[in-house]
Amino acid sequence: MHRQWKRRCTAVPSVWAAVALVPLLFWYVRDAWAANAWEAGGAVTLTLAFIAPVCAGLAAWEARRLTVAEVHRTAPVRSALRIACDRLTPVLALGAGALAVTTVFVFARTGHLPGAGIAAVWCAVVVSHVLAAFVFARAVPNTLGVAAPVLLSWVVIAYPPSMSPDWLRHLTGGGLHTCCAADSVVAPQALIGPLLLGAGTAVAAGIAVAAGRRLLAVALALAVAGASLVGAVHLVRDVPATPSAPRAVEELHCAGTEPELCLWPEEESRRAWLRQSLSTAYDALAEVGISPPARIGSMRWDERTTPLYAGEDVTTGLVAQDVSAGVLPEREPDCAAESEDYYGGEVYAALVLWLVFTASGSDAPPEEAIWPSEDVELAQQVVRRPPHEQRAWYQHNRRALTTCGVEPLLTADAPPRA
Amino acid sequence: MPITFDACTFGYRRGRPVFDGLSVELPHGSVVLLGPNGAGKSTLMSLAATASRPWSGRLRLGTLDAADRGQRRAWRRRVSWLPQSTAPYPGLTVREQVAHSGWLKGMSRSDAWEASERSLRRVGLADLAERSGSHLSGGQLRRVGIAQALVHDADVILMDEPSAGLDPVQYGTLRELLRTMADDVTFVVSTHDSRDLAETYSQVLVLTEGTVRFQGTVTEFLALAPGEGEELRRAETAYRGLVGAEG
Repeated sequence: MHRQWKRRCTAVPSVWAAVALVPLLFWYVRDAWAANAWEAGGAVTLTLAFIAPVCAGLAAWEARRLTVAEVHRTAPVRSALRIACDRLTPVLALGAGALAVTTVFVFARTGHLPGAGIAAVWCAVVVSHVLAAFVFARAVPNTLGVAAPVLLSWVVIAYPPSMSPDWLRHLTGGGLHTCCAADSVVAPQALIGPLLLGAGTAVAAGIAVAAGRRLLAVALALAVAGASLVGAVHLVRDVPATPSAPRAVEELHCAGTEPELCLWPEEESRRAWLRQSLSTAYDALAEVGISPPARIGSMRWDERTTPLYAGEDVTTGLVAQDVSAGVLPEREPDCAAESEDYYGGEVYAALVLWLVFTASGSDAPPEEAIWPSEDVELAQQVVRRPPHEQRAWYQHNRRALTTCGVEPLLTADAPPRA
Repeated sequence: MPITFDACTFGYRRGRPVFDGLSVELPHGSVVLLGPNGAGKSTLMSLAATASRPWSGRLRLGTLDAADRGQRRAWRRRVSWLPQSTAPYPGLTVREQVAHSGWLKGMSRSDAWEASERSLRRVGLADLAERSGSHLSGGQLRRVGIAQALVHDADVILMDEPSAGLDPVQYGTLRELLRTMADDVTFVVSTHDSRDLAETYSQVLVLTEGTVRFQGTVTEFLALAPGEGEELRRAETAYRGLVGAEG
């Protein structure tokens, strides 16, 4: 019996395919980075471009073996669907196993576990590719019947994410790897769309397998596949390139004053550190007479809240940068659109840099962004001036930023007295 | 267990039936099906195995009706069919292929695995059990097909040209096998080979152009060629007398 099982393992092409596929997946996700579960899911989604074609090819090969062995000519007791399930179980197990292994790799690397919704989409995609490839290879009983499903599966997975219109990518779950930042969740349509199409394709293929080439069965299978396609397109047609929707504000936990700090549950472990960094920044800005925002949080859900990046890789520089951005007005004044004498934009970067230097107590520009060197030099010169001169420089340029007709001060000199 | 065709019409193209209202009973025992190429022997086998379904008419195995989906499963469990050609199952050994046939016929995997060994021994292929079917000769592959037909202990065994490609020794083994099976099961063998009719079969059925030209015992068949002489010559004479020049 042991020998029989050993032989059963070595005789199954999926076992050999797994030996080649798993190292490839490991190599592919070796540098995966994710700030949250959605991004971890996105990293696994990219590997569908390997997993689905391999599974489709194996399914087509199993169909070809049944055709070559003329199994259905021997009047079997088992139904066509039962026979197909028997041959495809190892293939589906390979698909599920490959996805599970990749998920574990990504989890080990990033510490984030993808959600059940995105995992359901992967499964739907793999199952639909497997069953569709099986039906195709039964209908096209030659080498093309095996090769074409591999190529088609790869094209369907790999190409739509870079194609227009955007909804094309969401039909196959191809847009999921661009989702989502901490303050957003995947748009439900981007999950339900590919799920519907995958399930519809799988059911249609199942009907085709079970009922063979009977006209009614073919018509029913085509109707199911067509309906699922129309339904899926209808669902995803308005989903933007990044298939995200705002996260529920109720999930945020706000606490403290000056500022009130609002974080997502998964960021709570960094609350104490963030509070400390914010206190340092707020105290430094207060010394030069600047009042920082009263509420700061991981998502900006109203005008009063300044957005703060609170991811695992947050630094004091990033905290200072977010606080600084919250001090300055969010957009140009209305007059800027109509008047040609609005110059505030010329000094915006220098103002941000000066605020960052002041808040962080360092005159090194944040590494997370690229700043124009002249703005860096200007801000560095200003931050070395006496506090009252710095304050006058800031107030003048802030006025330039919010008013038309005021020329900004692009040197470290004190502004002329009004 | 007899298989009864009652006014069955069937063909592969609309308007060109191979059988047009065929009524015949394949009786219990050992039946040899004779007829020229294109007479409908393989089609008859295919219908009897329920691999094809008649356009009209009834087909029964004892009390089972082939038109009934549930009863068809029971039918297929009781009937095994060796088609005209045997193809190797890519990637499987001979024993695995035979065991897979048993599984297809409704056996559990473990039962099919055990039965495959017995079945291969019966056709003299036990020593090739671990070899890939793709590496066998035509005659060996034919014996694999026979082993597949025997694996699930059917009540009725339909064999389409089982002796095709067999060398004289292998043919002798097949003949002995058929003789030993005759007491236990009904088997219907389609063949062009008129050798050893009396030793191997109890009934003869001759088909030409989709119609039954003769049905009776071997003795009755041989009586169509009166006179003394060896059995083979008498069988050939009787056969030619029935089918004419085309045979």
